[in-house]
Amino acid sequence: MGETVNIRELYSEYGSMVYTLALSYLKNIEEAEEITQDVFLKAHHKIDEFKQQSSFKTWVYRITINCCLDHIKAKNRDKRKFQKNDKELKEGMIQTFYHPGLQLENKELGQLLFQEISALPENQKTAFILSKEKGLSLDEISIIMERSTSSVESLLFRAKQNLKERLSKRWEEFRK
Amino acid sequence: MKKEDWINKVMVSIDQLDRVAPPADLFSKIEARIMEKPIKLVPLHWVIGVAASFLVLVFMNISALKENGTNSLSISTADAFESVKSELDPSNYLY
Repeated sequence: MGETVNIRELYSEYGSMVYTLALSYLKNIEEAEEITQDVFLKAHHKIDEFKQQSSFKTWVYRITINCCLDHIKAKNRDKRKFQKNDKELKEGMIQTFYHPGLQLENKELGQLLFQEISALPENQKTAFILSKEKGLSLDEISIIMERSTSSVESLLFRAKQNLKERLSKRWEEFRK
Repeated sequence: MKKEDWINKVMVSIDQLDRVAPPADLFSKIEARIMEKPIKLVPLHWVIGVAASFLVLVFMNISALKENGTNSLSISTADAFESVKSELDPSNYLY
C-alpha cells in the first residue's frame, strides 16, 4: 500500500475483514461495530508508527485482536458487579447468535461451534479463530499473536482437542 | 451419523465463513470520531509535580511564620498605628 495510505483506503481494504473477525470473536453485532470503529481510529492514530517489517494485513489483524481482548477484559471487570445476571445474559446471547457470514447449510453446526469456541481460553480461541480466517498462513498467525510458529501450532492443537472433547459431550444432545 | 463424523463436520463448519460487510454508515462514524477534537489530558506526573510544589511552598511559609512569628506578631496595635501615622505626610491631606 505504500506511504500514501490513508484511512479510507485502509477501511475499504480491511473493513470487512475487521468486522467479520470482531463478529467471530465477540458474537455481538453492536460490539463488533464498536470494535471496527476503534480499530480504524487506532490505526489512524498509529499509522505513522507502522513499520514496514510486517504487512498492513497482519498489523490490522493485531490491532483487531487487541481491541477485542481489551473489550472482553473491560466487560469482565463490569461483569463482577452483575455476575449472575450477566452470565445468564451472555450465555443467552451466544446461544442465539448466528454469525452472518455462516453459509446456510452450516448455520446450525457453525452456531454450535461458536458456542464452544467461546468457552476456550483466550489464546486458544484467538489461534483457532485466526486459523479459520481465509488466506491467513501459520506464519502470519504467529506474527499477529507475537508468538513462535511452534507455539501457535501447540495452541491450535490444544484448541482442537478441547473443542472435540466439548463437542463429544454435545453429541448426545444432538442425537435426541 | 457416527459421533466422529459429526464432530468433524462441526469442526469444519466455519471454514467457509463469508466476509461480512459492515453497515454502510460505519465509515462516516469513524470519520466523525477522527474529526473530534481529542480531549487533552494533563499527564498525572504534572499534576503530582504541581501539587508537591504547592505543598512545599505552604510548608516553607508555615516554617517561616513559626520562626519569625513571635517577633512580628508581638507588635501591638497601638505601635503599628503610630508607625503608620509617622509615615504619613501631612501635605497629602486634602483638608
